[in-house]
Amino acid sequence: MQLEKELAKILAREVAYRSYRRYGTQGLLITRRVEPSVWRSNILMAIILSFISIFTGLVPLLGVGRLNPNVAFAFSSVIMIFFEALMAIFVVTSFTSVFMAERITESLSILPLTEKDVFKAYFRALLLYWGGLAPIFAFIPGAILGFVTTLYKHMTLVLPVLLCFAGFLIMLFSYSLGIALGSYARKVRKKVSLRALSTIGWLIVFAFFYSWNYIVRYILENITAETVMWVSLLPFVGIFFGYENSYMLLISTAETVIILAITLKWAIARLKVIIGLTPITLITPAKLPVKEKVEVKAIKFKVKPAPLQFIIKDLTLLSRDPRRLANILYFVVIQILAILPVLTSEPRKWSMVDTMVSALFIVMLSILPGITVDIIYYVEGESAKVLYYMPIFRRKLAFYKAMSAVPFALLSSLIISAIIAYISNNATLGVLIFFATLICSPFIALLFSSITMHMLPESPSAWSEASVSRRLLTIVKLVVFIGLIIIAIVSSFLLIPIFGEIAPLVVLLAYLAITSVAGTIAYLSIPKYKPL
Amino acid sequence: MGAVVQFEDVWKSFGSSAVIQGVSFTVNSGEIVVLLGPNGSGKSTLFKMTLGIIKPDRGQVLVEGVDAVANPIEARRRVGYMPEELIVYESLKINEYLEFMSSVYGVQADVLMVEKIIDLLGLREYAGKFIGELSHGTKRKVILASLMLREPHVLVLDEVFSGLDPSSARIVKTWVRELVKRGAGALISTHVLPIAEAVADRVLIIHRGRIVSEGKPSELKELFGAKELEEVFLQVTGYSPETEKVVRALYE
Repeated sequence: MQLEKELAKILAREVAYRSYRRYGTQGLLITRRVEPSVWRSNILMAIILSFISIFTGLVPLLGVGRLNPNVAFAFSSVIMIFFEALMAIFVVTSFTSVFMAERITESLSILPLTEKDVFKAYFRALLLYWGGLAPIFAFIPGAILGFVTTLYKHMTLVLPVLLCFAGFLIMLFSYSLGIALGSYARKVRKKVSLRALSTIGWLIVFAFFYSWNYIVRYILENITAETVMWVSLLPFVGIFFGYENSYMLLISTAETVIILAITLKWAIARLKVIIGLTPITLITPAKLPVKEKVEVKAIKFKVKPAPLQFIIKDLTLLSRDPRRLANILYFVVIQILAILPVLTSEPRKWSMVDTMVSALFIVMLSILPGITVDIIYYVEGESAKVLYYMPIFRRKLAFYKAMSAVPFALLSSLIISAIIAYISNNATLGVLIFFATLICSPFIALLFSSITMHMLPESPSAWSEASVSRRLLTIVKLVVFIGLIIIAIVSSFLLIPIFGEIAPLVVLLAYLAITSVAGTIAYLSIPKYKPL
Repeated sequence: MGAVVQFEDVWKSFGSSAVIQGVSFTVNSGEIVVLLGPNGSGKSTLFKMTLGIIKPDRGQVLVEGVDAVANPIEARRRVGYMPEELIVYESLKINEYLEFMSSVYGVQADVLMVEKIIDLLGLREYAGKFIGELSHGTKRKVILASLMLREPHVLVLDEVFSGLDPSSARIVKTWVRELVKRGAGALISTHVLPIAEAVADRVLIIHRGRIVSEGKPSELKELFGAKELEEVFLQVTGYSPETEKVVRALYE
């Protein structure tokens, strides 16, 4: 028992350290410097999830909306279960993927430990010292509120009981899924299809993290009888709606059992890969395939000019790091999502007031590389040390990094400009916004790239979020972003009466002048001949 | 033959620990100098000084006359450096890495030259893999391939033979000799003393940050009355025969 406990603590610390080195993040409140504790590892996430659970569970109790308490509680339960699953999958996948990618088992394989020892230590580390217990707080406070609601409202006692039941089932499912997904960490790097899937997965996680309150509000405001029928057919959560209808209950339960069985089986199979201490050659004594002949592959080799080669290298590294790529793509997607409701309206005549909106769009689009350029630095990771041995000036590298961040801004700009051109029935306006982004975004990228460059270590080091002062960087980002929005709004108000029809163009020129000056000053603040 | 690397009365301390203490030596064009020393004796520190990554507290490090502190970028352009710690882009494939390195150093290599080097080092079968998936020795070969493409005039190779199989080690020795014949100068460190003896025109032994012995391998052996370079090394680095008695008595 003592051995398992110690081993679990060592594993949690090791995963925390490797995760910190790679992503600058650790388990919640777990650091490599402090002794792991159950309390410290779970408390923060438990508080956040309890808050979501209470917020959601209060809806039926306070009688918000037009729904009867049973339906309201059923939908609240779906939301709680959803967040529980999301957090559990996130926690387990992040732990297991670092465990796998950093080959932590391999360091244990030389020790006289059995697979059972490592198995117990792995789960102990995950549950107790990596925040794995916290996801239950996504439904327990809500279930308690459910029991309280039955005292004051006409709501059945079955629902909170079902919430507890479903909560534990989803925990089992999410853990199994997280273990299985995390175990592919090494393969994800090798296969394009897995990298794409992983990027989409991370994108969904980021989207839900940043937008959960909108999702809850949207669901609660758009419930219809038809929605209820469809949801009752879903696994895990269908029981909240179909518990009185044996036919629906049967379908939902059957789906739950099948999905759970498949996921469990998958996880158990993958656990052998994660924890397997026995060398593969010993457990598979089958005849080894003999390579008939060595495949002669043609070597592709074409040296491009340095700026282009740097951008290609950065984008290649990014495409092989799904988590970081998703972090950038999230901002692209969120911008497009922000404008999608506009698509539902018919093309109309563009009013002068909309000049202000277009100015805001230019700000929003061109700020993207500024928000994301630091990720282009972090993607270097351990390999950043290579750059210190090269004949590269800091200023030049800041420029290359800035340019690597621009393509993402142009992608979202192209889509949004097309949407605006369609809605406004004004192609010129679309083109104007696109070119504004095209011109402004490199300067914004340069501004933040230069700030990040100033923060990077002087001696050869790995680069991650831990290499810079994230608090300072976030404050600078917020100040610049808010400042640019204020300038865009104020200048629009001031310029519309003065310049009339050509006001958007003037706004653009003013914005361009400000960003180019700020970007250039920040860039020039890096000493010209300072090596990395 | 001019000097390609010059250390002139170089001193360096990290905190209260004096790592390099008044080191002076030269590596000439057309010469292979092997730097030997126990772990932590300051070899890698000296090597990094040639790139201006570590700055001496006192003294000067010149690379083909270029001050590595005042102009590290120019020094880095001239030096073909192999770090002891294998730092490479693990998420890149071999060709992607070579393209990147060639671009940074302005190498005008064509695909035929790349194929020749890749085949020479036996890297072709790993062409589709990420560098991170390769073994220690194979990663070293990838770094070597990038150096071979550059044809540097100054070679600074820290533990270049570590992890290499005998045939790859032979390739490296031949390559270094060939470059040196063409006028380059090489500063190499290794713990494999027979290799040091085989390749070195001159051997320097560093101990606790000081050069304690210098000369051709044959001269050193004669001077210390030793049959092998290993004996010279053990004598000048203060290895006590008593140590062996302690080891033998460990489990008694």
